[in-house]
Amino acid sequence: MIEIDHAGVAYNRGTDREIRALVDISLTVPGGTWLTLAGPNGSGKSTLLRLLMREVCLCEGTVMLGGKALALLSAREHAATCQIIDQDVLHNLAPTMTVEENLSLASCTGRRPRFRLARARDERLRHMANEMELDVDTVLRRQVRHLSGGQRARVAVAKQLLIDSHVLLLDEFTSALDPQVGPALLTRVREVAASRGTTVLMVTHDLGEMVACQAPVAFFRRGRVFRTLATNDVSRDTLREAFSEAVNCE
Amino acid sequence: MDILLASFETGGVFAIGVLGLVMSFRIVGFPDLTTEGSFTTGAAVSALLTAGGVSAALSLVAALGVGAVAGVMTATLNSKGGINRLLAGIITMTVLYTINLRIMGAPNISLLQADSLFARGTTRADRLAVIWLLVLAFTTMMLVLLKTEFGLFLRASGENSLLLKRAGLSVAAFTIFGLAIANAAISLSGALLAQLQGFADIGMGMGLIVVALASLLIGEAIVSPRNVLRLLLAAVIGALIYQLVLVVALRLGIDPRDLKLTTGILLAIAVVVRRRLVIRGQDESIGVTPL
Repeated sequence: MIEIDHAGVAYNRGTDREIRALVDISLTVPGGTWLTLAGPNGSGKSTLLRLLMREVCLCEGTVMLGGKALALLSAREHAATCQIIDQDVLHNLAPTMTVEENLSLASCTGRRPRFRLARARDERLRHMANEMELDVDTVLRRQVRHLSGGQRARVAVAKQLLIDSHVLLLDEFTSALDPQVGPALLTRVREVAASRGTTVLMVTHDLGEMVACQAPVAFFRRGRVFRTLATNDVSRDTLREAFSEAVNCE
Repeated sequence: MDILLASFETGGVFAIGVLGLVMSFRIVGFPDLTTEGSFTTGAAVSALLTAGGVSAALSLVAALGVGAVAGVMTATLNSKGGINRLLAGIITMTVLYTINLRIMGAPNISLLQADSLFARGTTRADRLAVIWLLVLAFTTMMLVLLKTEFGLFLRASGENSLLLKRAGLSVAAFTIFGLAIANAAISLSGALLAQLQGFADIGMGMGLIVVALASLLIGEAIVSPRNVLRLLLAAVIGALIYQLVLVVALRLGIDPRDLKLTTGILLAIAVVVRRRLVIRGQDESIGVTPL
């Protein structure tokens, strides 16, 4: 469960170049549910994900993950609790390491890595590679940097799903993928998240994805949540209307 | 045959240093200039202890320890002090120059009268056996280390620090560990050279980084380092070939004063060729290219 109470984030705080990226955000995302974040560029959606990843600092308010204050989680606890898949999928991968080695990193995330041989070929890893349509006999041995964009995205998704965190953040990770790969990957993520009861926050500009996710949508504008659509109210028309309202008020 | 065996001796000694360079440059992605200082420190400590009557084997262990401390110092200056990587290495290297002089008490120490590892009476076969057993041990240790869970993250730390942070791990800790191992190896290499030559000299680390990098790049050109084993083999083979070329060049009558010039030109060519390969997407090498 994610509980955000009057949270605020500012860049260049205390200077004349201060930018209020998030203002008085209050959101509650129950465990095992999905929330889509939408809004114009620079409205604060990705900053909220960075805040949950502890990559930006909270200036005001509180943020709780699984009932524990975000700031009080140890680095390993946080890694086991919250993971992200970015638009640039290489953020979570080591480019000259093989797919197999990258996926092996997932099994030690959130705990101290041991001085014992990494179990690169374990069953879970192979199963996930198959799930992501990564050919176990060929692709697993290739370096990530020599893969296509679609294959890299599959590896990044497979790795983050192998970590099995309680909270998964998706930051426009399908935006650079072709119309076949993107929706297929998103569907796989939805299926896995639903089966495990993972809490998901997804940032997207794609109306089709918002509709397909069948989840509430929170619209951002100037660092604030200005409208939330319940699952039943999510349709292309209501989304377009909310979008134009957000853009026109910018 | 004599030339070949001579280059196997020095090649083996330098191979351990080049393996250290692999750890700092290719694995942790740290352009570590401590190398020139820690090489001499290893030689100085080993020579001082051996000249003082301590067992030569123990002096090698001590060299490993002081080298690791030098690596920790550079990594700490960078990760905890926020000092630029190159500058952190330069600072440690400069500090080590004074420390090395203090350790030795003079610009050089002779081991001619001491019971050194390769004292008079040891045959070339003995020397080769000792040196290459150490090369084998170090290569195996690094291979196993880099195949462990910890080793995978060590490799990832050089390639993508964000990945480590998101895994809840400290990038600084991995850098410190990596540089400790790297400089321990380089220091051991210096200690072995002092034992082999029968003396330690304050200037023996000068230009070492260029020699080690040239050796590594030559090795990588021959053994495409597509995996960890090949990367380590590239370091060993590169060191060997570099020393062989050096010995042959000297035997052919090349002025020793021109050797550093030749090495510099070779290194520049090797770096340019590698960059071209990277741009063309033909580079299969694993690890980081910090330069």
